[in-house]
Amino acid sequence: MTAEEIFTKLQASFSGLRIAEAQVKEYPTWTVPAQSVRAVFEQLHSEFSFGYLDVVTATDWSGPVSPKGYPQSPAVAIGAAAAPPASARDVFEVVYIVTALSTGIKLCLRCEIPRKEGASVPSLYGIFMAADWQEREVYDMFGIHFEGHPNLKRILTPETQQGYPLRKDYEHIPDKFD
Amino acid sequence: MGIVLDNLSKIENLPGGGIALAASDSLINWARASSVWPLTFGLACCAIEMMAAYASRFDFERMGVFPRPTPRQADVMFVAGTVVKKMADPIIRIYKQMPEPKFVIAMGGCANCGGPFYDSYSVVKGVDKIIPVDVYLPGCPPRPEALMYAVIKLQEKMSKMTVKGGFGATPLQAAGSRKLV
Amino acid sequence: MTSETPTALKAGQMFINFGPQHPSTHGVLRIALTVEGEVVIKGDPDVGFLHRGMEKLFEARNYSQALVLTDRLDYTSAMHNNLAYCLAVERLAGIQAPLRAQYLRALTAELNRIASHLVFFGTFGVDMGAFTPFLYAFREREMILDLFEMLCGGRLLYSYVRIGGVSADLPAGWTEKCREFIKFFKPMLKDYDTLLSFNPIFKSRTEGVGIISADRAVSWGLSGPTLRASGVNYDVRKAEPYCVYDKLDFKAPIGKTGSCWDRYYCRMLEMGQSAEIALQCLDALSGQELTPGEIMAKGVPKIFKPPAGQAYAHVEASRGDLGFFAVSDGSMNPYRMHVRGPSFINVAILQEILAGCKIADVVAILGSLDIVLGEVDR
Repeated sequence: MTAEEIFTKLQASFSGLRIAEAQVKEYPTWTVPAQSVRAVFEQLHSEFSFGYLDVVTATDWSGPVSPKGYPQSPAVAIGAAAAPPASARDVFEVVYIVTALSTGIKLCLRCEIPRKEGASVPSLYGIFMAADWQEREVYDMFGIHFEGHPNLKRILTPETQQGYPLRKDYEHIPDKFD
Repeated sequence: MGIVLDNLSKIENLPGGGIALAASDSLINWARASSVWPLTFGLACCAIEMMAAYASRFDFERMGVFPRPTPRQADVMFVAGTVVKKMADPIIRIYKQMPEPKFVIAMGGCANCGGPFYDSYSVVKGVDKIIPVDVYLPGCPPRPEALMYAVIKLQEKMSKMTVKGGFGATPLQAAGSRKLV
Repeated sequence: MTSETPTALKAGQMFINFGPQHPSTHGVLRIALTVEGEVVIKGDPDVGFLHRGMEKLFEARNYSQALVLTDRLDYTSAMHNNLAYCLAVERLAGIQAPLRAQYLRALTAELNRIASHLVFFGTFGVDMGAFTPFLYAFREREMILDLFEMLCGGRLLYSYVRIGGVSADLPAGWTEKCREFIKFFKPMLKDYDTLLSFNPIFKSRTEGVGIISADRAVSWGLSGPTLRASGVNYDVRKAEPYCVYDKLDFKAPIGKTGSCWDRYYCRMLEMGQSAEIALQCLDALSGQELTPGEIMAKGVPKIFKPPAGQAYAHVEASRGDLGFFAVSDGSMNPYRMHVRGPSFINVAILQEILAGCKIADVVAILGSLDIVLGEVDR
């Protein structure tokens, strides 16, 4: 069964599933609406034997990174002077890459959510245990909530961290070590 | 005995053996410098070069450098790697647990000044922002021979210490570590 | 200090901090252990003590500067990090490195795998209380580091694999030295078996300890020797060959039970396989078909601006499946560069398998997972 056939079968149950315009190179890429994420993955896992979750990550599409996120950096001046690219939108995009070990098919699924307070996506905890820490990392870096995750706490940054570092508009507040 | 003999002020030869009188400073400093026991405190990449310094080719132990896993038994702390804000409090705590006289060698670019991560939101720009440093060793990572050179520099610093007047340490060390954050 | 203060400790239970400064944690990892006597009731790994914010820094550097940062991820096997990064960026830009560069990449990656597994072998022995393997391992490792220093000037962190190819060709006399090393190294593996692998004390401390079944391993997203020791046949070099791995002849060792000993022995066997691959690469590089000096793709500009797009490339690094997810908006800096660190994902399983084992077993399990904190925390 190829990726296209899996797509046609899944689209029958989930009409919001689309083939993405901006494909990730060499990975069949689909976009999935936020509310169907968990159901789609459940079906991929049970029916099409996609048992191995490679990556859960996110991108912030709201434009070039703010130089205020870097304490005292001369390096950022180059990037910050660039004009906002045409693709700047006020969204977060959660990216999943999943593999079927038996058949070797790999897929990339992307889910766009509006970039506002309380942005959330259903969690994949329970279907794939690999989602546990990767979702915590995405929460730590972007502030995206994963509904249904039993332990959504900061994992990499200390408890004293204010703000979500990987957001493009993150402003670093100097603390006692700066 | 050659090291001690160079520093002697008086030699008295008595029948049946030789007695050497040396300034107590030189004797104590010689003992300290010959058995520098570091705390195994590798944080990041520099830790691997530090381990290589202890291993077969560079063999630190012939200089008397014998790694100790607990700060209570260590003389010097090699801060080998990036100091991250989350790790800053444990570092201060461990530094306080070391008995006096204690020294710190900041190994590598990250421990000296933040290194390649100088503009990161989560990196302390140099370990000397939180603890007093005696020897700065640049490199990314510095070679094991460079680490040995840093220990030799530390030994030279130790040889200038005096028993009276605060051990020749930095003012902060002389006051003790109660003034730390 | 970050708090994992237990709220409900029963009588007879104790809360111990394993780390962050500890000789056996292989870096700055903290495991919050709740123990009852010698038995661990709950073990919670706490990471982030080496979080340097690399993904944020990638957005502030241009593509060549970011390459230098990637070395510092899994610092014991820096070639793989550079390679995965360059493959992702090359995929974005549609560049293909010349064949000679690809052989050089595979050769240095395999030598680095041997060096990294030697670090694992030495430190795992020290964790189990055996100090001698550490000295043997580092003696061999110094020979490999000498080869790398001859090649590109770096002992530990290289930035050798560049976007479009590699930075330097083999100097004169390097091939002979490398063959000499591999000839010396292969019998050493049997020595290691006698010294540590089949030592009864070592076996009783590691066999039957920390068993991870195949389906739990796949669900938790493990990769590398940790996954293959549980019996799952997944090696990125075989599943999605990159560089010239489809032309090379090697096996990925598979374990049976998923115990600490299996994970350890898979790595020992992998060292032997890497030596074979290195010999095949050396033969190919000395052959007539590969023009010496052709180490960089044509037309890679100095100011590198890949077209807007997204790409993901992963390699089989020493610790597992290392991937880079790159997003470009057409400018000089990466728009988003995410690192899929195998050690980060491997460490998560400690939450599940530490319950019920003894404190000494915690050291064995952690050592057998073979993590490097630079990759866990980035």
